[in-house]
Parts: sequence; structure tokens; C-alpha cells
Amino acid sequence: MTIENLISQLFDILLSAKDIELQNFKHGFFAGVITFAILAIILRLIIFLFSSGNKKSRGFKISNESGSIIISAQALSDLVKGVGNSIKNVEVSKVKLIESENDKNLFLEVHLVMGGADTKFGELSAILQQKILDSIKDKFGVDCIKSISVFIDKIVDSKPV
Amino acid sequence: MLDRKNKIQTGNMGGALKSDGSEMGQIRIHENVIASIVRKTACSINGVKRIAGSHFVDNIAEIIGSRKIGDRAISVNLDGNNVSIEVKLNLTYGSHIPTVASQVQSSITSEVENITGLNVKSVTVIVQELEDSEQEKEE
Repeated sequence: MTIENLISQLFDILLSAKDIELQNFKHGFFAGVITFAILAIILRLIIFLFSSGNKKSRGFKISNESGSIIISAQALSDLVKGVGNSIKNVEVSKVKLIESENDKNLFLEVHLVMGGADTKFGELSAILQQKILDSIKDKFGVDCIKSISVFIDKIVDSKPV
Repeated sequence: MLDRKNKIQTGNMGGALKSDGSEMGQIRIHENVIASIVRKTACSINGVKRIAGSHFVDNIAEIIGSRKIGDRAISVNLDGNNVSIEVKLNLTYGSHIPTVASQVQSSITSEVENITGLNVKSVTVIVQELEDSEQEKEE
């Protein structure tokens, strides 16, 4: 007797059940099957939502004839922090390297703490973006960052330390 | 005068390269030997701060295990007579990364090939962090 036969027999018994206990079991069984199916669909949707779009990158790779050079997101963050902290009234608090799922392009998210009441945020952000791009090109020898998003998380009265 | 030759044979025997088939005997080069060469060579390059890794974690690992500090950041894969090396490094802030990394690759390749006679297939340099002189002072 195959497994298919056993399953079909079980379904036949459940569907033709007249006994009250068997009917209760039948209701419970089908409720369980439906709940499982709904949960599976929800899980699939969650996985789809989280897997699509952008994700955090761990770094980028430069291949050459001797092997490859992998620059980690931490190294990139160190460079960006160094560049940002060299600008007056700017302190880089967090740097994220984001990779696009669709086209594998790299983006930077730079979070800042800015100081000084007379600071022109737009101007300063533009300077910072340009300096970061120049610095990445100069120090890493690559031009792989497509864009830099600047987030001003906090504004303090005095110059951030 | 002895004119018998030892040949380094292909194969990975329990983490070591086994050499036999010669009249004089065998030469076994352990992966840790290659890791040591890699560590010394990489640290001698200008622009390389240190082998990447946490001192605290490495110290514990050294107490518990047998691996030396820094060797955890070096992985050596032996495939016959070919060796592939991966090394995680912290470089000096301000240095030109591709230049330093290329120097590391070429120096490791020539040193390992000269010392062991193996063929270095690839050297992967992972730039883990950039450190400046202030960080050095703090440490």
C-alpha cells in the first residue's frame, strides 16, 4: 500500500465521517491545514518583502591579476568618518554601505551630527558628499559609489567633538 | 656531495603539505608556516598597520587554542602544489589602498614562492579597517 493510497483513504474516512468525535477531528484537521497554508503565504510574503530592494553591503571587491582586494564596509566607514570629521561643524556618527538588489549598485548613507547655529546644512552636505566621493576615488582607486545620502540626525549648539 | 633531490609533492595531508617520492625523505610544510610568512611579509609593508582582528578575542583564542595572534585573519588553502591565500589587514588611514594592497599581494606571492617553492595561485587582501596614528596612541 502506497502513501498516496493511505492519504486518500484517510481523506475518505474524514469526509464521510458521521461520528461526532471524528467530525470534530475532521474540523480541527482542516482548520489546521488552512492555518498552515495561510501562515506559509504570510511567511512567503514577508520573505519577498525583505529580500527585495536594498540590503546592507559588507564591502566591495577589486579584482586584479594577483587575486583580489576586498575593501570592507568598515574600512569605507573609517575613510568617510575621517573625511567628515575634517570638516568644521560636522561629525559623522554612522556610515552604511547599501547594495541595490536589482542592479548591484552601491550607495552610501552618511549620518551626521552638526554643530553651530549659523551652519548652512545644504551647503555643508554638498561639500561633504563631494569630498567623500573624491576621497574614495583617490584612496581606494574606485568610482563605484553611485550616490551618497546625507542624514542629519542631530544638531548641537557647539561644534561636535 | 649529495645530488639527490627532494620534490614537494601535491596534496594536503591533515593541514600539511606532504612531500615524498624522493630518496631523501619527505618535506612537510604546514599551513601555519605559510601563515607566518604571510603575517611577517604583510606587516613589513609600508601602509599596513596590523593584521586585522580583535586583540581581546585573539588573546583568548591563543589561550584556548594553538593558533597565534593574527593567524586567525589569515587563511591558507592548499590545492596540490598551488596555494591560495586570504589575509585580513588594517591599513594606515591616508594610504593609497590599491597600491598598498597590490604591494602586499606581490610581496606575499614572491616570499611564499621563494621560501616554500609552492605556486601562489591567488592572494586576496581584505582591507578590514583604516587606522590612524591617534588610534595607535590610544592602544
